[in-house]
Amino acid sequence: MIQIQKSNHHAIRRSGSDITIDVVVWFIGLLALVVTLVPFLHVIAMSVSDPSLVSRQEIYLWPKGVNFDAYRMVMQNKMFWTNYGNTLWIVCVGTLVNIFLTVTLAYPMSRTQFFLRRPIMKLITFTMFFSGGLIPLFIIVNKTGLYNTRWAVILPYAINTYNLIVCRTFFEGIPDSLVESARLDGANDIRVLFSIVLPLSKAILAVLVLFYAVAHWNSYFPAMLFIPKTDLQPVQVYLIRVLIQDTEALAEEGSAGYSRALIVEQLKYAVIIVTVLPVAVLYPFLQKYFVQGVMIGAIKG
Amino acid sequence: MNNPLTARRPSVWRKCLQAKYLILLMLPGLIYYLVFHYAPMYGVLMAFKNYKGGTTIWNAPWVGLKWFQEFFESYYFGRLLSNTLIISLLNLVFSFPIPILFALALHEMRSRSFKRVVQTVSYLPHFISVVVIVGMLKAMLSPTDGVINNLIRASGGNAINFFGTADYFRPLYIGSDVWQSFGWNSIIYLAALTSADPALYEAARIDGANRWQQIVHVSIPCILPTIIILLIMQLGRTMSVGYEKIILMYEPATYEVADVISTYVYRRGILKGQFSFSTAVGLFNSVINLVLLVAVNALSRRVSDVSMW
Amino acid sequence: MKKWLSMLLVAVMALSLVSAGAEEYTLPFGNYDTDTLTIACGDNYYAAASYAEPLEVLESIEKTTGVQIAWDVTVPSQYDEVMRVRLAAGVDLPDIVQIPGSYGNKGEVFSYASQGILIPLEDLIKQYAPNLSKLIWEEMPELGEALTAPDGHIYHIAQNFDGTNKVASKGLLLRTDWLTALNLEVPTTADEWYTVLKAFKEQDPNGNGQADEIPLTAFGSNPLSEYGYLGTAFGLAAPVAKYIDVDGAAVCQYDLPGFKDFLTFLNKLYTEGLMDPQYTLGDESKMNALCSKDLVGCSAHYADIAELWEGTAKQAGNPNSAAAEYHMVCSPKAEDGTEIRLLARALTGFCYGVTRDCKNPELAVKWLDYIYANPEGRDTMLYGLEGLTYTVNADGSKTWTDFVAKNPDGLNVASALRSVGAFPAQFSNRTLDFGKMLYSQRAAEESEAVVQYQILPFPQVMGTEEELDEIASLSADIDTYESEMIQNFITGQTSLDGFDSFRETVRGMGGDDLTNIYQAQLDRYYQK
Repeated sequence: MIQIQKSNHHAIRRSGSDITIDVVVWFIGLLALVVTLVPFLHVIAMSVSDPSLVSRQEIYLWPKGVNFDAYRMVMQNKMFWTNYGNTLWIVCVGTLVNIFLTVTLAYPMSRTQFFLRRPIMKLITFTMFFSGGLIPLFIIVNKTGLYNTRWAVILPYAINTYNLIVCRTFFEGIPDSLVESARLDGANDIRVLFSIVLPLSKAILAVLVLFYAVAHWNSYFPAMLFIPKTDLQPVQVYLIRVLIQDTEALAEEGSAGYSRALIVEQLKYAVIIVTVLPVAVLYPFLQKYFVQGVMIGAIKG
Repeated sequence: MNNPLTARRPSVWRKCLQAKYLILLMLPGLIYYLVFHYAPMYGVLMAFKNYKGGTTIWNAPWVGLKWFQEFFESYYFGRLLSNTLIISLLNLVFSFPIPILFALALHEMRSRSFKRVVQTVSYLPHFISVVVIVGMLKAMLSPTDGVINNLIRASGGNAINFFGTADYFRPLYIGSDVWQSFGWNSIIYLAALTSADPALYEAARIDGANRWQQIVHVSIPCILPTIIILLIMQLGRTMSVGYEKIILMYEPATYEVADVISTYVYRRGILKGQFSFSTAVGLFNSVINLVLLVAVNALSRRVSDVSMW
Repeated sequence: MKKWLSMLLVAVMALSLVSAGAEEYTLPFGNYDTDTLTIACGDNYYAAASYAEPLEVLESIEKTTGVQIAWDVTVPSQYDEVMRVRLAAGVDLPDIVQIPGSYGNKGEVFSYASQGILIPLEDLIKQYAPNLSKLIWEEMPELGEALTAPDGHIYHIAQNFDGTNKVASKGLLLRTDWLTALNLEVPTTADEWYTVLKAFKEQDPNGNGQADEIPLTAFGSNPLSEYGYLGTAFGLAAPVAKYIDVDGAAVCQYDLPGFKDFLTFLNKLYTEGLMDPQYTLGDESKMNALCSKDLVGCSAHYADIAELWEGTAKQAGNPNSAAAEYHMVCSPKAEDGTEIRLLARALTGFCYGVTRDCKNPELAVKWLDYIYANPEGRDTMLYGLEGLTYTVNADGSKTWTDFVAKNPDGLNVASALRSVGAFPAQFSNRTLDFGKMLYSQRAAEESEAVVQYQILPFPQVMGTEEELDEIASLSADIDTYESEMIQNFITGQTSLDGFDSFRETVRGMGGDDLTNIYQAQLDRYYQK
């Protein structure tokens, strides 16, 4: 499919405006590349440079005096690996729960002829604006027995309304004729969802996986609130603890070891790399689902 | 079966029966909303009570509209409101459309490998915490030893205290926001673009459309529903400019343009455990947000047939 | 006068209480297999050793007391936010809880107490805590007063800074090597400070050929907490805290005539480039960065920090860097002869209390007595374990072991102690002897010149609920306005001619009501 499309592109003689667009697109691409690579290179450079240069804020994009102490400090603790394991568990299980609940709710909400669609959508939208806050939620988490289990950071956040609506909007774009013909063939709604709609929605599923997984990965406050037990906490909580080390003590005592005060500044950057890398590599894997024409190919096949 | 009564007006039960699979599908999600959103909803009552914990929210003393009144009568109410609206508006003008343009540009890229690299790299800043982004900006723009001011001095100018000057606050805030989020936010449009039917492009080409016309007549209509829905949701967040980044960026000299409702509540409420006051202000924001959303949604349904419900 | 009388009264009352008397407990007072206390608090400042992990010192205290501790810990920076929600929800409370927001401000202690979340402790203390009774009612009645709520009950125990306050104080740290290089004396008046800072700016003391020096800077979010150490030259108590206690009167320093003069002085420094062009750096890492570039002439901090700044500056590579020296110098004296007054750190820091869910308050109070007031338990908490962290000399004094003094991981004394569970921030009752051992010899010596001028800060009085609500509602606007205007005056954005109308506006916003509340609190403090 892609191949055909590409050759088609070439078959058409390029007009002036086409070339202008190519130039503009290249320019935008390069600009985006430079602008977004800069902060990232900065963080990498800061995380592996000589701590005293880091503390002087003299590192910009290229590391000087390579040094991995900050990484060693982040990872030396047993708890780091325990908590990393928890994060992986929470991200995997949590994202699965998210996707399942989001998709199963988004699909009925995308069926325009479904008589409960409008009232329920209104109920759902309402929750984007009005919430009881953390205190009643805390009580519910406590009463449902989720408190101090890893489920406490999964179930209360099982659906993100924003993602739900995005997913529903995508489902609505799928031609009704497809769904109708499947139904005429005797498939019920559940089958239609899983065997017709979802295969056509890989792109939005990829987006949901990305959004939910990254949200789980970055989240720490619910874990602090709902999981006081250290060995059940995700790695973000651990990293925050490492980060504040000595900086708070400094404020309280006015005393900190000389070499440690230096490394604390650097820790911040090593922590970013340690936490970003695993999710950052997720994207290239999901990228292949963002391919135009997948849908039509599927329909014809 | 052909009872004239039900034929005219099918009973709820019949409708449910007809849609039983859809209802079955949405049940888990619905239970989620009931348990984790509607059951704790009574917390909103805190806005009308003086709640300090210890008792149940229901048992706390009623204070009526005290907190709302206090907020509206604040010396800074006008300034907070206008700063909040201005920042929201700037977001709408810059942060919102740039990801769309970027997604369209990516879509037009011929080189697949270049496209993939740009796409992957551009979303990385999303993962860097706001603390670090602001820290970097502050280091780069420092009037004593920042790169930018070193350049300014080298070319004979006077160092500028960017973070201490009210005029620079909004450009810095919005600029860094765009910088950090345009790649990430474009993902959703890229996903929507995948549903564009190649046959449409082909038809457009046969009709002699150049690429610009293809963008306007095929690509944009294809992502338009997504754009509209996201725009409606964005407008529904008008009053909710977050405090996290602003408290890192502002200082007393820039309060004038930088202090928004959420930062004010943060300084007065969260830091001191004033749950009732924070809830009241939150409620005020929500009501305005909801009114905006309902209005825009109604407009959108009339004009474009795209709607939240 | 009044104060003495009240103290006497307290002492007399205390004596009568003590004679009724708590009996000494025998160790262990708990049964290790069955007795557990849950303690919720901010986690160890030394992050690599969470209280929740087995730490030698804390384990040894568990054995001695026979009470197992279930540590329910949260990252210190997030603790207040998390615990406020948990306390407000009121379910599943720990036995002993560090009270959120209580460091430097006891506002919330009484609030939780009046909600019934914290239980009154004084009867339990009288009955079961002999050492604590003696400490707060006999040895340090001022501590007893600081712990007593407006309703006369004691709802909390608090980290006690007395020992370290007498040893170390915050003060101005000045590049004395720059003074020597420029042939200047240590400045003692506002004019002399001006001359010195001007020379720092113009005569290139770091010797790199550029006028890149920042003669004076501040890093805190409230710049007056550093620049304020120059306020003594204008008769203000330094750092220029808003309220001070002058013989029982709550005085707002911003309303004193010296305050306008002080702002005028800072404005002069700012416009002439003698003060940080950024006004305040906002965070300490930026401060360290500038010091390590050999740029900073003066800022205020604890004496211990001088070594850190010096160490980084020495490596900057400027011609004069190697000689870098920061020393604590005394704040300037006023022209009208007003004596120098430096506000000490408050007597107490983190507060913690026993919650209504505690099933065995007797045990909780005994445990607190042991770790806080029992000489043996208190010292274990502070110094750790003999052989591990310290050794005892022939004269009974203590010396740090190499593990603490020359830590293999490069930790300073406080962090090394914390790495094995000693010196937990919240539960320390610091003695003078400990203070002397905590800080380096040099820091202690340098602080001496400054400590003599210390006066007590505005007492941390527990507010009633009405007061708290009133303060929260008034100070939100007033604080915003004041911090804005102070910065504008200093940076010259607003002319100082507007100073009087500035104070007028604050009065219009309810500034006097605020002062009255503080006055009422102060009155209560002295009448107790």
